[in-house]
Amino acid sequence: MTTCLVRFCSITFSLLLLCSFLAQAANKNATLIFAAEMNNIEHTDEGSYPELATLLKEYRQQPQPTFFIFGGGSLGPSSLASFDRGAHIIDILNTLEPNALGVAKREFSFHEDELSLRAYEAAFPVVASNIYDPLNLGQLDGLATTAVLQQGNIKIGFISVLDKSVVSEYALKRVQISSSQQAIEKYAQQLRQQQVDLIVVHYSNPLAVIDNLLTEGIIDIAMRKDEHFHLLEIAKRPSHPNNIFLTEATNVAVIDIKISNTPPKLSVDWHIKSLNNMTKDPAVNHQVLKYSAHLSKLLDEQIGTLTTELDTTRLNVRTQENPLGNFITDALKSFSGADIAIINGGTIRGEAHYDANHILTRRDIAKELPFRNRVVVMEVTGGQIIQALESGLSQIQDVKGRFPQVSGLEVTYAADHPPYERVTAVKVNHQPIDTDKLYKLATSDYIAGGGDGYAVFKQSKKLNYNNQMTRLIADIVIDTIRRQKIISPKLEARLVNSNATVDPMDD
Amino acid sequence: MTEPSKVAQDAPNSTNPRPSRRYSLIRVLILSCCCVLVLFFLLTSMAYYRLNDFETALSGIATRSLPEIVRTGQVYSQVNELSYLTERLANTSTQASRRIAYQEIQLKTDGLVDDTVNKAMDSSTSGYLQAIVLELGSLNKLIEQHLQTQHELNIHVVDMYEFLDSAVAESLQANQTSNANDKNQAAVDNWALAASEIIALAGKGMTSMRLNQIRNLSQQLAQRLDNLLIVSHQLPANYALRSEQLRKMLLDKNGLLPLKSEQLRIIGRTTGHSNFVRNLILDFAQLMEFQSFEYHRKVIAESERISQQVSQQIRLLGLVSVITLLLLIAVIYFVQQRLIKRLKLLNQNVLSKLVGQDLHEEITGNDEITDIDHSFQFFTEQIDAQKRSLQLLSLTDGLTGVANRRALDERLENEIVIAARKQWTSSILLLDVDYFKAFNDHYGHLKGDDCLKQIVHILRECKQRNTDFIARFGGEEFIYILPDTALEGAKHVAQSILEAFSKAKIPHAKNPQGPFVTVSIGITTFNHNIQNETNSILINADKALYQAKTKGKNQFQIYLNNNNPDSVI
Repeated sequence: MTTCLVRFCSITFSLLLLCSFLAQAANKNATLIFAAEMNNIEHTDEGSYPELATLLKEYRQQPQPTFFIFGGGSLGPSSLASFDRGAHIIDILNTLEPNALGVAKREFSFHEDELSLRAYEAAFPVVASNIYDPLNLGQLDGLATTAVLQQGNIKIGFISVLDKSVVSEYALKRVQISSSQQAIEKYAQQLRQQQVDLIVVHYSNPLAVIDNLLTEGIIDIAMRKDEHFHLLEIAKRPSHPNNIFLTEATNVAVIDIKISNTPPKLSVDWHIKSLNNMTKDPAVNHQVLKYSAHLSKLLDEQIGTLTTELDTTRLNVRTQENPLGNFITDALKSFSGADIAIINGGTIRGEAHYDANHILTRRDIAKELPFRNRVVVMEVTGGQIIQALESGLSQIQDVKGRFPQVSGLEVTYAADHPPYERVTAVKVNHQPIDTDKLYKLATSDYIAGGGDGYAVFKQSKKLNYNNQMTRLIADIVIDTIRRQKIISPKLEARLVNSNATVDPMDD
Repeated sequence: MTEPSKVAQDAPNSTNPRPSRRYSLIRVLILSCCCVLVLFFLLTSMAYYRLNDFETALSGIATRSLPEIVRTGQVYSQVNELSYLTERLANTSTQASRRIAYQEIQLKTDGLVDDTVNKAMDSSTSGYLQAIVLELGSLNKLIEQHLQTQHELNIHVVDMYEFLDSAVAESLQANQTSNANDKNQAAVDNWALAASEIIALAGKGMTSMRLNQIRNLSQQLAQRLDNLLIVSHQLPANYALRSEQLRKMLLDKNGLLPLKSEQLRIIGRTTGHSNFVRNLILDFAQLMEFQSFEYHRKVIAESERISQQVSQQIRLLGLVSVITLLLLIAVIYFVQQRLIKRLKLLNQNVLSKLVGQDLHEEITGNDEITDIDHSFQFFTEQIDAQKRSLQLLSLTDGLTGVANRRALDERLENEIVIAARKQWTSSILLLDVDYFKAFNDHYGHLKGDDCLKQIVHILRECKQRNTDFIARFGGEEFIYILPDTALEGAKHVAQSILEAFSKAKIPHAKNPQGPFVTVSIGITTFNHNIQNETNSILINADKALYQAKTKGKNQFQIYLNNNNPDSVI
């Protein structure tokens, strides 16, 4: 009797096992973790790489295969990155072992060749699907056009596309960006032919066609993170359920993938996980701390006191006159002896709020001005200045970095006018601007090279000025603060919106 | 001409009001001299102090600023060398060359640190330097690690190929010698082939530069090694052992592939770190360059300022010396005007006085020169007065006080001229005291002198007009000149004289005429028509007197133009 029972049990058990095995053979499960835009390792109070490492370990310990795709946007800018060109991020990521990294705009913070170097240093493929490098007649050195990621029995075809605006925003001189849609369609087809189970597309700028591609089944999952999404109009939020869209800086997406063969169906279920308040992985934390410790002596040096409150968040520097913008341009103007100074609000990256009587350190300034931009003095006509201002004021609604911060100018504009018709009055040192008169303009080499749409300056004559030693703008600002010891930057009606009813936050 | 009288002695410092404020010459001269001296002193001291300042500034530049500029330039170039040395360190391939390179770096950084300690540099500079030293140290460690790993990797690769040589070749050999059947032989061949393939794959992997390739390779190798193990189960035990050995060699914690991963990661870190250090050094170099430039600019500004100051001082000194020159000229002019000219004037006054022209030009001012002038004036006045009194004296009879013969001659000449000019007739009375010799003999000469004095007194009393002139002609002779008086008038005057004498009654005991003194008078007239010669007039008067005397004395007689004088009582 017992032997009968045992036999019966073992048969049912093995049958069940067989069934489940078969079932499992029919169903494939995986977890896909998506994180991106983690460029600053010094925000130790927020969820970052150590917490992400803990999360990954958790999931990787489970039997279900776990993929980890990193959405880029992290090689810069930060004060440490300005020194090692983002190498520390790659090193930390190497410890986290992503399956792939999708290139986003910020990967070009130090231009094309540095990205190539980082790609070689990476333990994972660095993917960018729509770049063309004329030097190689193809892909940028070290990068991959697509990647096939395999964990267990699941193969994922990975595509990552960039927006054309990266060329102007990051002053890229060589690479060209081709159509995102065409690249996606082409490579999706190619990857399907390689028998991948699903196509995952990573993109970093709003791309309306993604929803369509998802609906048509050309691609299966789309992923994007934009921590500054809240600054834009809601109309651009993606609608397809498989269009994964992260909007919080410390959030990651955990995506459950279930692939069934009979019938062939892909079900995607994702939820957001916050990295805040998770435990830090000690090894990665140690790595992060070691990197943070670099330059701590130098960066902790106190340079002056800020008596007024100051806000350098994105909205504040990219849509209106900002006191720090005023201070920086004043410093540039007096350093170079120019008549006026203009920088783009996007140069200011601190995303910080300073209380009154905050003691400024080098670290603060290095955070605010992480790019290694230098001062350039040019001779420009009044007409060119107006053109530049129109250029800078043309994308206020999109909260773009080209918004100008000025010194020596009083600009009145109407934000509700069409772009390039917004400037209504300009005064240079309290005199109405003369369109034919030549003025001395101090700006960054980024703007002078035509970055962020300031193409009007590309042909202007560069002048020599007193302190011809090409000093970093950040260093000039630090010197100025050190000299004045107490600074109180404030709004001075340099950029006045004549109809202040336009609020980019409105629906 | 007025009568000679005592000249009032006018002292120079009398109560006359001074013409202007007194500017003592001594004070003025001393003042001007002091002025010039002070200006000169001012000039020299200014020049001295300015030169001193300039010298200090120049020596400051020479001893501080220039060496400082040179030093900062040196620091900058040293930092540049540091950048090059760092590159060298990053590219070393052996531990020995690494040590050498790092030593040189340490030397350089030590030198820089000493430099910053010696010159008090600001905190950011020393902060940079400290950071650089730290980071160079960690770069050195990284490179050491890298070279170590490289070394180990090489050993492992060698080991792996040795395994290939020994294990695989051995198994092939063993196969040949033993009498294994075909199936076994095939299995051994399979095993050897599989093992070789694995090793070849692993060898290929060593050339990879991509971490993810290594990872994929590891997975591939793991699978193949599993298969190898399965294959080796069909073979003698040592084959399984060898398979395990191979697995360990390749995939163990210290195995080839993990080591290769580690190497690639270290290479990545090293690249990142050397980028980091290079940028740090670049920034530091720029900071040094900028500081040097700033210092340089400051020094230039300073020396420009100094040279501006110097040219200002030169201008100032030039101005002051021009002023001093002008002042000197003014002083000279002043001296010339107030001193020389006035002295010349004084001299002129004196000379003119000497020559006899009394061209006294007034000397303006009130000082020693005017004092001299006044003194001189006073003394000339004194001399004049004395001259006058001398002159007067020479025309006065000492005894009686009337005019003497000389004065008479002069006066007579004068009256003749005046009579001619005025066309009037003048008369002279020649008086002689009767029997004066007898008087003298009787009364003595002293009494005789007294008598003469009395006579003069009487004559003076008889003088009716101021223009009448009395003179003592001789011992006892007197003359009376009566200008603008015709004969009748002269007779009248003579008569009154005679009467005066008889009234006076001067006792004369030896006068035969009577007991009193009497005189005899001879009158003559003259005008331009009649006679105009002193001698002839006097002779004529004398003739008339003689007549008076011969006719009995105590009377007057008139001289007429013919030889018969008319005697009248």
